[in-house]
Amino acid sequence: MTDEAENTSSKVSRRDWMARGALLLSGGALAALFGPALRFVAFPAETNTTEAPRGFLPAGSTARYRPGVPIRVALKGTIKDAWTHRSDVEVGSAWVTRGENDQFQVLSTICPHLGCAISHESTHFLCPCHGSYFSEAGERQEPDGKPNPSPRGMDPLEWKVEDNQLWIKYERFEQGTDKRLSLTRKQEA
Amino acid sequence: MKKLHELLAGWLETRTGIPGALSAHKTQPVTPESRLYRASAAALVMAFAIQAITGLLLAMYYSPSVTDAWGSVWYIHSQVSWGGFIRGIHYFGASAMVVVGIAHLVLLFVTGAYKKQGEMIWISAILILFMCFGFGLTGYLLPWDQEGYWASQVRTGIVGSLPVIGSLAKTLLVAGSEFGNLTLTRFYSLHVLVLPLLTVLFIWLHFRAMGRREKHLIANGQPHVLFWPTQAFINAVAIALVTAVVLLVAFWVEAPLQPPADPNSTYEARPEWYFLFLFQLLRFFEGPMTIIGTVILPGVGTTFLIALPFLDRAPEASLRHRKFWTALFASIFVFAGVLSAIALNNDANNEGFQRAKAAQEHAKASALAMAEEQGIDVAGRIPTYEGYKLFETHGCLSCHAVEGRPDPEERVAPDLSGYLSRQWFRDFLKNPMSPKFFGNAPAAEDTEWDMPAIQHEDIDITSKADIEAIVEWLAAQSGKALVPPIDPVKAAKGLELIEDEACSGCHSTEGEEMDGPILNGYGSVAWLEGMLRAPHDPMYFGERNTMPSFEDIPAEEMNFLLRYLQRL
Repeated sequence: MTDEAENTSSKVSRRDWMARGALLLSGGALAALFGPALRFVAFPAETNTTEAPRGFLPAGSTARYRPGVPIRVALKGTIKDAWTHRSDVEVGSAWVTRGENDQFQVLSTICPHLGCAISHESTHFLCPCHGSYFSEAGERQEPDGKPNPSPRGMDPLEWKVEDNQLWIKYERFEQGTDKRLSLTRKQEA
Repeated sequence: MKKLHELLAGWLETRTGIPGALSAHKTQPVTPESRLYRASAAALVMAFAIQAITGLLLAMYYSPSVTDAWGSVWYIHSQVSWGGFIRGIHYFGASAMVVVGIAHLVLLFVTGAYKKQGEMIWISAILILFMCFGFGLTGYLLPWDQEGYWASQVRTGIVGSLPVIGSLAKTLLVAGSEFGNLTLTRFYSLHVLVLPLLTVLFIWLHFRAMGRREKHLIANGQPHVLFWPTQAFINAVAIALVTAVVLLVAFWVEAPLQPPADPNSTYEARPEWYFLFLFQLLRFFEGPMTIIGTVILPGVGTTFLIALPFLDRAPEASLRHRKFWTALFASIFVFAGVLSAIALNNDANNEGFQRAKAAQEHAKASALAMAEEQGIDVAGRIPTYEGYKLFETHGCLSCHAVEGRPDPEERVAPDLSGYLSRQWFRDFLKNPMSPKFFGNAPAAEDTEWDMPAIQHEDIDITSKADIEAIVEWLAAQSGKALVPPIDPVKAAKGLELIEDEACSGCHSTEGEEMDGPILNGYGSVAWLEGMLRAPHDPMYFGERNTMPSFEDIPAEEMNFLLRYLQRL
């Protein structure tokens, strides 16, 4: 052991026992906190701390939309944000383009690449962050062979028209994947 | 071959010197007389570490703003996994730090650690203890509940009453003239940044001073042993003991959380147990004498404590050789203990306080249950709890009872406990003129006012099934969310009975003005609002009404009140 090796064997075992005890006791004290602390920190992984409104959200009168012109519309609803329940807050937005009659194209403004907001340029959609490029139909494109970081086209949202009112179902999708996976449906399940 | 951790330690040692520095304490010499206070110092550090760890965890959820502080603490308290436990550790750990801090100071005194160049050990220990008090003062406000809010009002009021600097000091502490967002952010910053940094500094100072004194003692021929392993073991026992006690208490006892702070209320706040003696001291000195209780006596006590090493210069450490100082030191604790006991005794024998306490407990349970049901709105309010408070502030309780308080038999208006539930209708129909319902109503002396019980000679309803059908239809009227699903067939039969039998002599089920209140939509939001705004309207109680009308309640308040009534 140490320089105090003149000790008898019983004394050595006592020292040994104490050293182990010291480590065990102080280690145990910290370990008792560790489990609950871990669960506490990881709580948001096992519970929905935020809840977006389910179902269709109002997007105004259909008369608001002119054929062929994409309009960015804010979707409002009641959300639960940890301890707060907030009503009439913008939960997200969509690019809405009216087609023939009452046909609509509704695309999420969230870029499938890394989640920036996609803007509309004169002839196409473009994400200003990393240059994801989409046609007006929301398809992923690579004009002039320029690389497009988005793994897929823009995400379409469900919509319906009732009494000349447009309703949009707000949904969020997994980012950075080729396949379109709904996070909203996953959360609901 | 060397083990991996040895290789790593060697690598780190040559590049940083940290492993060597860490294990240096193992070979540190320890004199027998420092054994005990080294153990209590270790326990104190552990208590602080527990606070630091749990504080760090709580900060992941806590939000220091007037609208969110209570909500975030409630969220931790009742929603987050193990949140109540972690918060409990922090809550009871604060007391543990004070207990261990005082115990440490007592041990330092008993062993005479402030002698033989130990002055800084003593002074830094007092500074650490004062940090504990600072943590308590700032932390008490953070949940922004009634208790913390009102206790902090008193404390900042005391600061404001100090001579000369008071007004400025209070403004700086409160960050303005009134409590608000900036008060919370300021207290939060003090609590999680300023005080912890100072505490670490003082603990460091404390350990440096202990090490120095040890060297001095050994140089003067004191015997000694090495820190490792015996002292380490003693320290570990102290550490484990403190941790075990705090964790067990936090596991079994719920840390209190009072309803959200409400400046428009009265609340009898009490300080933490370790400030109770100051609270009582304050009661002895009033008016111009206040300063004796707030500044002079605490100041004298503190000065004495800090100056003790310089006052007691005799070299003997034994208690027998310093009876005078021992008596003086002990008298501080006796004095504080007696004052605390008086404060507790006063409260225990004060009926008014006990009543207020019971009302507070009721409000607390209601607020927590209501927050659970519907969360908190953007303004930091719990909608039905706002209704609960409005029900009291509008004086409803002076005529109605709810949830069995005040005594339903003594009220002049119907008992609203369980209002709109099937059981409420059942009880009411059985005996509408009992003291619990209209029996004590002033208008009831007029015989025309007599609503007959449902099993009455003039009414041909006898079977239990018929009564249940009527109850079913009535319960369906409110649209109240908490009524369990309605049986439509039963309710339809109930409506038939109501219309065919004696009820229809006084009550309409189609909104027509008759002698008694209309029954269609009874207890619904629209019905209740109409009735509250104009109970004397022929649609409701008409000429017989004795209830005041609440026609000018603002829409938002009315909404809270209606939500509350529907929840009863």
